[in-house]
Amino acid sequence: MVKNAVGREVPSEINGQRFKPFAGVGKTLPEGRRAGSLVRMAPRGRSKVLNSLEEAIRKVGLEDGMTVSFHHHLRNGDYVVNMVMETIRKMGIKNIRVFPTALFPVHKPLVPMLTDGTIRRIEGSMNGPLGEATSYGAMRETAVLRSHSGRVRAVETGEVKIDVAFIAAPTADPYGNLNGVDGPSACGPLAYGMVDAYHADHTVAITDHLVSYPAHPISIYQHMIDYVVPVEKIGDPAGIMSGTLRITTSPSRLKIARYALEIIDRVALRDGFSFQAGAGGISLAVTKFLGDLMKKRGIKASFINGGVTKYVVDMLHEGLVDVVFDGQAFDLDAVRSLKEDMNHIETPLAMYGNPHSSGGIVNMLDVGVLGATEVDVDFNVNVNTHSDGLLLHGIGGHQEVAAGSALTIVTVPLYRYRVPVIRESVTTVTTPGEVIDVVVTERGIAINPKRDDILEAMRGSKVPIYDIQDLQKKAERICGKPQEPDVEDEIIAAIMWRDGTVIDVVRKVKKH
Amino acid sequence: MVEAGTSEKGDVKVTIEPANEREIVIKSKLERIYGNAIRNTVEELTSGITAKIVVEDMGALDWVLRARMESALRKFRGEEQ
Repeated sequence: MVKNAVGREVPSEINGQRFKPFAGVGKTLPEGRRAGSLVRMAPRGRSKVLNSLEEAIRKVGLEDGMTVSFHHHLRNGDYVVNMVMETIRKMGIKNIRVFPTALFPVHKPLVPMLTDGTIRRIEGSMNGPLGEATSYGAMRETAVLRSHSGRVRAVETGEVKIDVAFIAAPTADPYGNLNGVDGPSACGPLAYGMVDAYHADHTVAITDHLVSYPAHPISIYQHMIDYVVPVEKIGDPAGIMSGTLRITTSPSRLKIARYALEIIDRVALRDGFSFQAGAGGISLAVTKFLGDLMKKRGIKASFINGGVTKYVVDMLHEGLVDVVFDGQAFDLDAVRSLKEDMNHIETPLAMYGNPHSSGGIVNMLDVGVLGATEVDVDFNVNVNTHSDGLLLHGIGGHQEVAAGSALTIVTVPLYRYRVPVIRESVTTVTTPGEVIDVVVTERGIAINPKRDDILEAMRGSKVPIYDIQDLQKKAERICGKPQEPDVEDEIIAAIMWRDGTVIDVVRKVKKH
Repeated sequence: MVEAGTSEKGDVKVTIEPANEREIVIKSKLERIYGNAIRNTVEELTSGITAKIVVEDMGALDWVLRARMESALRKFRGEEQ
């Protein structure tokens, strides 16, 4: 174990693979060449359409110990992960490494597979039951969590080799052209699955909407897809889409959004500026208020990077923004706009923010507004574990947006119910404080001391400004001092910084 | 049996019923974070009372717990509300 740049003890070996400790943002440089996939061919006249998943798994030669990957555009409505893993289990294939972009509560059927020998480990986000089971020690090997584009980097460098990518496709043609904007399980972009399609040794598309050749538009191209398996349903639209997303109505959350808006206005708002949008309640409010303010000022944004929702689409249609970059669609308005609007562009996750590439979209962001489970007095952010130590969330694009944006704002309540959000030390470090510029709570804001320019810009503002230590003390005075998580020494998960270094670990939680 | 509080998030429900022995039951989603603090407050406010005291916490702040405890204790003692 070595101490890394945020003071956390981390191992130099995880699952038999060597990893460097986090050394600071931008301090670990890329090495080597990009990895490739198996070279293969599809002779003229050979059909790619197969009758069953079992046939596909047999054809690609999936064996014990191999790695299978999935994307999470179908989110909590996804049927494909369970369908594929259940087939693998029934076929008696063991010791699989599952490499999803993210798993959700709907993937609870994988929990028993952690202990019956089917799955040896999961490398990816685990939202809910799988994370909880892992926290209590159900997974044989150590989980590895990466950010959206950190995962892309891991695939591109060969840190993770995908044997078979199973790609849920809301629309597919018989020769493997795929998109996510049509069909009963439409989800919008297929951005998360693109790197898997490029780099896996074998690729299987699973669809419930097989259209005649050629499907269009095309998100993932035919020359990267080996087989197409039609099934009855790949997902439940109610879980794929978020329904009508509503702006928070909580007065304290709205206050947070207004404070954030004033910071953006004073520091970054100008014609041609850009920002990251999300689907959280506060984030939606900031997007909406920002749109109103831009209209009032008569200015226009160059682009919004999303997390696309109706609020972003409305801004596009009103001419308040030139281009929308889309890595994930949250509602049907976003899906429809991606299909119809030329300046609503689907972006591969490699383009979104791979730090070891020739530059991602996040490097062009002026403003990023992010959430957090916890923030500490060093501005470190935790989005992975709850304050009792349970691993319940993925990293998402948090690291990318925080590291990329010229102005990174974290919006959080001072406490949630009785749990303080601003703490002496976060339970797990997801994103280091050096890339967090301002923390905004309903009681006031704290500016990272290294950002004098923001402090200067806020001079004369009515927004209360505190030292982050003062916010922490306020939270503790209201909530009382929280108990430390009751954990054992055993490491159940590693949290990777986007450059492939280890920023923190998560330990096994004692069951009471 | 007397009752105070609700099962709303951020609140706490306290029930007290007569019993031959003193018994305190605490259920909280925040058991791992504030179990000790909740127990201390309940012990402090009910010391010397022989009854079954059930506290179902939904993430209440300490002053909310104290207010609900006081309300339940007054009802238990038959005081005017």
